[in-house]
Amino acid sequence: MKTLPFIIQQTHAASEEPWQLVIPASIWTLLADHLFPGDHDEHGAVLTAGIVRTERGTRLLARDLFLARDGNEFVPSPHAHRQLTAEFVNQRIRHCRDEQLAYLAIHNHGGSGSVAFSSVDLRSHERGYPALLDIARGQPVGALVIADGAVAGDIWTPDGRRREIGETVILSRNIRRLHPEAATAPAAHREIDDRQIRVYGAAGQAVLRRLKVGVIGAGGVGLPVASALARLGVGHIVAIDPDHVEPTNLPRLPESTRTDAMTFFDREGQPRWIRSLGRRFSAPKVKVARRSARRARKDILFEAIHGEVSDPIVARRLIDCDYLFLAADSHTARAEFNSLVHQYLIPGVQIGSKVELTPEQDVHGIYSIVRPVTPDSGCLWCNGLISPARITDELLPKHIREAQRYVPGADAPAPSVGTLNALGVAQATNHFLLAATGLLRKSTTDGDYRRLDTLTGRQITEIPRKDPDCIECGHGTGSLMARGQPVH
Amino acid sequence: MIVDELELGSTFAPSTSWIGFQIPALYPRADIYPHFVRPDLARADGRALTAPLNPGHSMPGFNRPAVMVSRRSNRWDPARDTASLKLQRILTWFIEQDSRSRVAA
Repeated sequence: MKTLPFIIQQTHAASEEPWQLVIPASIWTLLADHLFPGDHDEHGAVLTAGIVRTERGTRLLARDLFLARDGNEFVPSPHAHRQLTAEFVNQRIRHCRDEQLAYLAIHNHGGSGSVAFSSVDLRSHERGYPALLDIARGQPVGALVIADGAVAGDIWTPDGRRREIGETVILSRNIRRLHPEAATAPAAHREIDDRQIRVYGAAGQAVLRRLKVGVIGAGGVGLPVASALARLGVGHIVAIDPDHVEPTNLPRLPESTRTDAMTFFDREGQPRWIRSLGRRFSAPKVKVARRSARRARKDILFEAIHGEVSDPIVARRLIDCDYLFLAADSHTARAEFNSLVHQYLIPGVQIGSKVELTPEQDVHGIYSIVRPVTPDSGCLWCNGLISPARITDELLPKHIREAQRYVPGADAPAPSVGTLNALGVAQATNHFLLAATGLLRKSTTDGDYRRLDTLTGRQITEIPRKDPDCIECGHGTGSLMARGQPVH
Repeated sequence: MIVDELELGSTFAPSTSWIGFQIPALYPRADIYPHFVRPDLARADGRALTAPLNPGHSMPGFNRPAVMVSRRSNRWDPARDTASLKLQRILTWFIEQDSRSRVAA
């Protein structure tokens, strides 16, 4: 019988409204260039989107953009200023029906900082969308209107309801959040945040508080990440790890104690059954991470999941995150993380450290590694960083895995030092903080993988490769990019 | 998954077997291996089975005694490789042992 993961704390009650739209930077750039070429005129397009529904609400995930050619596919209208032609709409709505995607017609308005549909726009929706809903066979249909710095949406669903798009998230270097109206000033900040809001402002602190961030792995990298996020003021953290604290973890797990590791039971000379008892009753790593986070922020919503991210029930807890940290070294975790980034449009970062030893076990190289992974960057598959054979190996029963073993000692623990882990943790959490609060500046190495050679202090950057046919990050028909929940 | 009555070539006796394998939860991101064949598989020339054939196993999930066939695909491509193509490669490997035996003779 399958063991269900132990979710130490459940989340808040479900809420339906409002909907959110997430758009990768590449799609947003194409769309913005098309809508605002500098002629102050109106232009049109259609966006298709995957759909993900969770207790945090419904997200539309931008997948394909179809730009309407002015005068040919976007033409003068007897009812409005301009409209998409019937043929253009017909092709796209059938595409959405077949691919089980939402259909969003787009046009632009002038102005800046706020936007709304005109009464002519809304009458046009009322005339056309009931018929489009029939053709779409269960998929939402609707419209977006975009102005400089503002997006509004009117989405029609098969249950006869209409929803607004409350927030549009653009996954650019700095993660932008656009609304129909300019955001109101946040309420007074809390005193404990006084020093950090002098860096990123009360608005930045309010953004952090609304975020849900996933941390895969709560060991020597994941635990300090979760602790740092809590101290920054992230409101909701999901930490996932299947392991318990062992005595050899203590040097790398900040705030873990000998009681967590049950060191009393696990001493030289103790009978094996007593040592095994100690391992059984030692604390799950996620529990230590939750304790550390709560010491910083008593009111944080912290889901400590003692389980494997390869378990679909566990992975589902991450699909509505705003950001992901991969702090586990298994290839199964890499594959799950990579899928979450692309299928659900969640930007993330992989953190690791690598110690290379010579055959004589001398230190050859020590590296701190940080790999940003976003829907627009090349994925971990494209860059040869996930091994299908290793995934299979990790999923095999232990006795089969041992019988398969070609290299004796291949399961030996990798060398690891807490202070080296701290380098990657600091770099990745700072990148997240600055992107979330809008402080990153343009750089020629945006999105590059970073490897710090700690023996020489040299920073090595590498541009990620991207395969257009990749089933995760490619845009082919079979790709899972922005699909949201499985469609078949 | 078990596929019955597949031809393994005359190097082996019996020359036919079922072939079993598991499809991991992360398929097609995960390779399909190991495979399993009938437990009484032997070489027709009487020599012992050698790697990648490992006698004395049982197929997980079926509790069925089996010889384990350990053939990893280090170049598995999730966009192109499938469980059926991998099965075909395993069968090809068995049949190629036949021609190799003839060359050696």
